[in-house]
Amino acid sequence: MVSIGNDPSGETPDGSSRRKRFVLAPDDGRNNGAQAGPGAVKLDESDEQSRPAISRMTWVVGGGLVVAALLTGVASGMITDASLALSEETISTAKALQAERKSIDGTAAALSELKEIDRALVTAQESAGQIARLQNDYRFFTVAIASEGGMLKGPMVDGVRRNLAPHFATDVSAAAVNPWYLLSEDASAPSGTGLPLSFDSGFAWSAQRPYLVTTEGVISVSWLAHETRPAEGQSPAILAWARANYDPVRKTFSDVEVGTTAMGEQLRQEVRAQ
Amino acid sequence: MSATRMTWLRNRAGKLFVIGAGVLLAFSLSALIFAIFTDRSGEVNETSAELIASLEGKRDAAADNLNSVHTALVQGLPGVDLDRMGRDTEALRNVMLSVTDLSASARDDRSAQAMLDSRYEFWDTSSRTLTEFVPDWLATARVEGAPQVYTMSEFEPDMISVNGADFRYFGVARFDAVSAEAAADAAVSAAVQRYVLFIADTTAAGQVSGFEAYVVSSETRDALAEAKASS
Repeated sequence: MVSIGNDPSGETPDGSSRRKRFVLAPDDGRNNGAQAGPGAVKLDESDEQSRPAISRMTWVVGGGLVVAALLTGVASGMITDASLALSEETISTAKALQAERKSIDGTAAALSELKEIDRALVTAQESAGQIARLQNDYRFFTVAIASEGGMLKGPMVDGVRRNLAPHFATDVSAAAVNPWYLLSEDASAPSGTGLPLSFDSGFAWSAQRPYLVTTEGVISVSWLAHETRPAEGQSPAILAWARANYDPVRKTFSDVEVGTTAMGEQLRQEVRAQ
Repeated sequence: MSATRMTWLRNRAGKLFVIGAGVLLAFSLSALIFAIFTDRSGEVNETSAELIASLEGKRDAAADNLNSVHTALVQGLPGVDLDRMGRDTEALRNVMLSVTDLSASARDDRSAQAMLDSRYEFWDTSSRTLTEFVPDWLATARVEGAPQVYTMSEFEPDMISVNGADFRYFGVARFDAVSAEAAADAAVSAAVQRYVLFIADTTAAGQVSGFEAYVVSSETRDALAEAKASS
């Protein structure tokens, strides 16, 4: 209990207390000895050591404060994280942009590996010319097709189709190897001739020459179907067109697009798939 | 001496502990208050914008690289003159726009034909553009209700022949209706799209020396619109 009484003296400024202790130490000892004897001093010291440095109450209060501090710290951290999080939209946009860049880089890499484009343009044109000839061969069957109600059949037709097929990628639709356009007027051509040479169709397909390769590394080729017997004083009208992309690596056409002009559609011989 | 200091600390350990914990709590409380009451959405938006901008920059750089690879590849090909092809495309676009400009020529076929004939020299009496295309184009525009306004949304001429210094181009231009009503059901109706086939010639001087336009059949228009919608 004496030691507790000592506490206030400890609250005095450091220097003074130390000096005081230093000065008073022998006096203290003497006083102690005189008053309570060595045993009392010993008892006092052991009491001071057995008493916990921090009382239970202090532990509870201090511990509570520390826990509260940790909790608020975690909470503020969470709030900050949540408020700094990127929105879903931003993340999806970012992902889309990354994917886009990747695909562009892939296209550029494939494009820079293309060799001998000038030769590829020539082979594309040759292949396109053969397609035009085969499409023109279909004209000979216009009479037969018209008499069959537009049905496309017969060994001759199959032969043309078989010859067309190798020019196209395997995944193009069947329409690509069917007649792209037939003129209804051809159906009334003198029947029984059956000879290609004597057949004078009112229109013809012609393959157009490609000059460029696209950024996707394919060669876009066009075909035009124009009148062969235009009315007097008029230039031959375009009846239909076709477009396809030639792959210089696979050496086939894909993405076939066939269309007719309004005039061509009026003069068209209907063809139905089998 | 250290023993006295230890004693001194021992005596005040409780206080120091509580004071320390209090200071800690004060700090984290202020951090919490700061986190709650400061609006950081601006900062987040800025971060997002920076991220998107940097990704867009990288994407654009990749596209530029692709274009330069493409240009290098194409530049040396026979008959190719990219600068001239760019100029020709612009010249042809202008002709196409005036041929299909319904607002200026919607009064009647004859005034439209006369206007175009006087503006361009390359159409003669055998021209199908003036005698067939213009009346057709105007008629279908009238049939589809009030005079429809179209915007040309696709115009990519492909060079199909080189004859000396004369280039010939072919292409199919796409037009989209721009009226509010048409735009509303643009997704469901193919009727708001129209296609025009064209074949045109240019001279070395960059002059358009020939231009023929054809209305694309409605059957093909529907097929193209469908193909476009599904892709």
